[in-house]
Amino acid sequence: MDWLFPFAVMVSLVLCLMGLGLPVAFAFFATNIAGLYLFFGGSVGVAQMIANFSDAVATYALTPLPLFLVMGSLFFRSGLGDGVIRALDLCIGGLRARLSYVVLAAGAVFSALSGSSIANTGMMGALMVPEMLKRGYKPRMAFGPVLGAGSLAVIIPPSTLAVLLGSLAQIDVGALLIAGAIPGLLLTLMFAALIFVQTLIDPESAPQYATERPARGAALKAVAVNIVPMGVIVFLVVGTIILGIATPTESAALGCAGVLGLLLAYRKFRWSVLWEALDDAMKVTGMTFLIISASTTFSQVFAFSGASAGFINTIVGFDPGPYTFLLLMILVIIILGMFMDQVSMMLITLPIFLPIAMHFQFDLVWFGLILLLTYEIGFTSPPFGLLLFIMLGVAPKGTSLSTVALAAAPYIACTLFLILLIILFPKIALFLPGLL
Amino acid sequence: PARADEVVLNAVHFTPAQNAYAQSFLKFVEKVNERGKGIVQIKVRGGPEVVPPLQQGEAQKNGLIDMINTPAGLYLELAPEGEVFSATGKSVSDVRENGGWELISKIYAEKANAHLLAHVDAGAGFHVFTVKEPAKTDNGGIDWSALTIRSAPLYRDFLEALGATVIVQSPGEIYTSLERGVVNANAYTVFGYKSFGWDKFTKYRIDPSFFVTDVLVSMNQKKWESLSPEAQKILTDVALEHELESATANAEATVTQGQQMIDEGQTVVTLGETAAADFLAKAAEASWKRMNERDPTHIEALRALFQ
Amino acid sequence: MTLVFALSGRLSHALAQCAKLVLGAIILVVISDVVLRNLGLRPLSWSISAAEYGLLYAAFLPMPWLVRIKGHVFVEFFRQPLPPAARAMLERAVYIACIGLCLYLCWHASLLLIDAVRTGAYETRTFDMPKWAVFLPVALSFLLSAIEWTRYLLGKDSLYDLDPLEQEGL
Ligand code: NA
Ligand code: NA
Repeated sequence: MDWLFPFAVMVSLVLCLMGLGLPVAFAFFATNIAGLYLFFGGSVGVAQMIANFSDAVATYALTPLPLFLVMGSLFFRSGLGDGVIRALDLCIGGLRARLSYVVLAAGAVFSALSGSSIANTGMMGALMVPEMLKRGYKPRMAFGPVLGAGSLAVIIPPSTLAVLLGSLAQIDVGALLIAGAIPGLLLTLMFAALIFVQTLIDPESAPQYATERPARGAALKAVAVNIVPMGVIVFLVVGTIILGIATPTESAALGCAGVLGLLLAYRKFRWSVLWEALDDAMKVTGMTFLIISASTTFSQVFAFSGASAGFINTIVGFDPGPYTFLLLMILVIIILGMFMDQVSMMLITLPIFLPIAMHFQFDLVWFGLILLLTYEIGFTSPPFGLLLFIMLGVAPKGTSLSTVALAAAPYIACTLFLILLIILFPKIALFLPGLL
Repeated sequence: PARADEVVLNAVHFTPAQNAYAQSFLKFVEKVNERGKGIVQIKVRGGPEVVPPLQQGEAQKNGLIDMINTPAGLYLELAPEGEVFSATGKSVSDVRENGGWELISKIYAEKANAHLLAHVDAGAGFHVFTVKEPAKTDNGGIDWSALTIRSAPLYRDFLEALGATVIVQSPGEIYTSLERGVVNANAYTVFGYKSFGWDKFTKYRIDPSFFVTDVLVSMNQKKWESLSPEAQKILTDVALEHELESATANAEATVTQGQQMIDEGQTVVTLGETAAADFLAKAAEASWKRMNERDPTHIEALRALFQ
Repeated sequence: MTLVFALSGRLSHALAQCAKLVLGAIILVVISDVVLRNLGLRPLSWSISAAEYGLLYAAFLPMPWLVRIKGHVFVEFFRQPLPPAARAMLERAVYIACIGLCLYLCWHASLLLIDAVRTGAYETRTFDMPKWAVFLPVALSFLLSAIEWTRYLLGKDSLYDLDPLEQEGL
């Protein structure tokens, strides 16, 4: 049980420091330094940590994050986003919690064009949350759909996390990507049902506000002016990916260019808007990437000290049947996901889980998709949830972590239910890859 | 029960544990731990999740890690001469006999604070794989300028010298790049190629292969010197054995895996005789030229023993 | 002291502006790359590695400015239930810890920086990136952040004191 000491030290230290009000990135830095001195090379380890920063964040796969932030912010700050919401408002009419549905639908669409949950949440959060709060939506109806819609990004293809998982686990990446399509749509429907049930239980959580019944012509005009042009952007982002012209990063850059083009066309372009959009992107990027650099070392110390392997080995050491094992692996990822980022979790768990999966002759695409859904839960599980932090980054100041985490909880429950469905009915995951 | 003076060495490998390169290293570790009971043991701490591959050479140099299983090409900035392992035309045993190994070991000790144990998995070279059938030139060669090739730092300069556009990316990003047309060619070993799923896009393989894989097993020099002669002997003996075994295993796997991709529709495009000779000469020359630019001190001596 | 903080504020702000330019440049480079490629022209081989290093700068350059404008995310689950006096003490402890961390990391980064300049070390991606250029933003950001945390310690401002004007924005 020599893994228990480093495990306890690292986890409790980072939790305490965070809880005491040290900014998250700095809590990680402090824990890392303590961990390095206790378990991994002392001051040599600290130097190595600094040398590792460029490996942690200077990664092409992370590029879409700031780009989608810029794109979302341009939308919002220029008033284009407001126009879209106004138009949707006119069209959707009397549906309760319509903005929650709008977020969900938009989130699903953006998931089909973005592989990054982080970028998705940043964009949707910046675009929609202030509007929803202004309209009197309760936090769970505002933050929840954004976080749920954001986490769709890693399931609905394209997904950088799926590509990473596929290449690390040597699972057919194409099959794994396609396998996510049906579960992603199912999850979207479940989220919609969730919103419906939530408003049924507490109608005041998403207040109806008076909308004048617009003339049909006015609604059509609003759609033509405000929503149709958005199709151009969706084409630039989704279309270029589907047509195989661009990578997610490139489509994000094209999306930025498209929005700028629209601003020029609508005579809404001002240098100040562009500068503000870059300002928004700079703040969230700086905050997030610093946490990523810090948490990378945390995971490295964790792995070196044997804490992660020891923990996992103990959990899986009770040799039950394949399905119990599968559930235990899911449990391990859920617990690790409370403290760690997805990439580090993958790096730590895959070498231990894959041999087990092969031992039980699991279908690796099916298994990979289940893992992917479970890793995704870690995005929104407290205390360390990257999407929660992004949400805090774009939410009004003073929003607490627990508010955001509580809003995400029902969405996590939906994801768990979907995982159960996929375990029971593997066809949900394997139907499309079977057509390849 | 461990003897009081049993030494435990911390080790990391450069690929994830389930990858064939790491598996090969774990076999070496198993043998050392078997024979080294009570004397020397290797404790594998993990792979890229513990120290990022590009930092492993540095971690060995500063003593953070005692032993690494890492290609020389990933820390050329410490020991630029490490390119000889891939550029060489000689087998590992030849180099061990003619004194080349001794010389390169001395350079590694000096520059990377490293003691070389073995050049492992050295049974095969790298190929360029292309998405479309490569356009031929009159002399039996290939129009390289039409290719945008994903590369590792190791063969970047060579592919540039051919006239191709070169993009350096880590293996994890290649799949998307091929799928999206960011690159239309990829350079890697046959060994392990299919497991990344890249064969789905690259339907052509250009022969011959160039270079040799350059995976090393090495130790922090100071740690090595602190070991008892008994422990040093066990490590050296097992390293020599594993060097030979892993080369054979790698060569065999390369044949099987290459045939499998061919059976599944990959076409081999072989360069004409003169074009192939020119290709391989350029490969070697690019390496020697770059080594010479980075530090000419030992290049003449190395050329004599490795080329 | 006020002058020092005014100066570090200016400098932090300038670094943050640089980060914005870096982000803008990444967008431009990536767009040019995709356009060139689809016109059948030679893509910019250096664009990916340049974007990657751009991200490194985007990660570290904004750090001190984010300290100044309270842009680093924090949670407070142990802090909130404390009585005001204890909270005030804890707050000072947090600032001191942050100053210590920043100075310590700045010191280490500076050692690496000096070593990199001395040896001329580089990283090999699509182009050779000098290591000093990797460590420079890290060392500089931690140094300025230490000064910015000192500003909080000397009571010019409180991290937990949220500006109501800021609540409207992002
Ligand atoms: Na997606
Ligand atoms: Na989490």
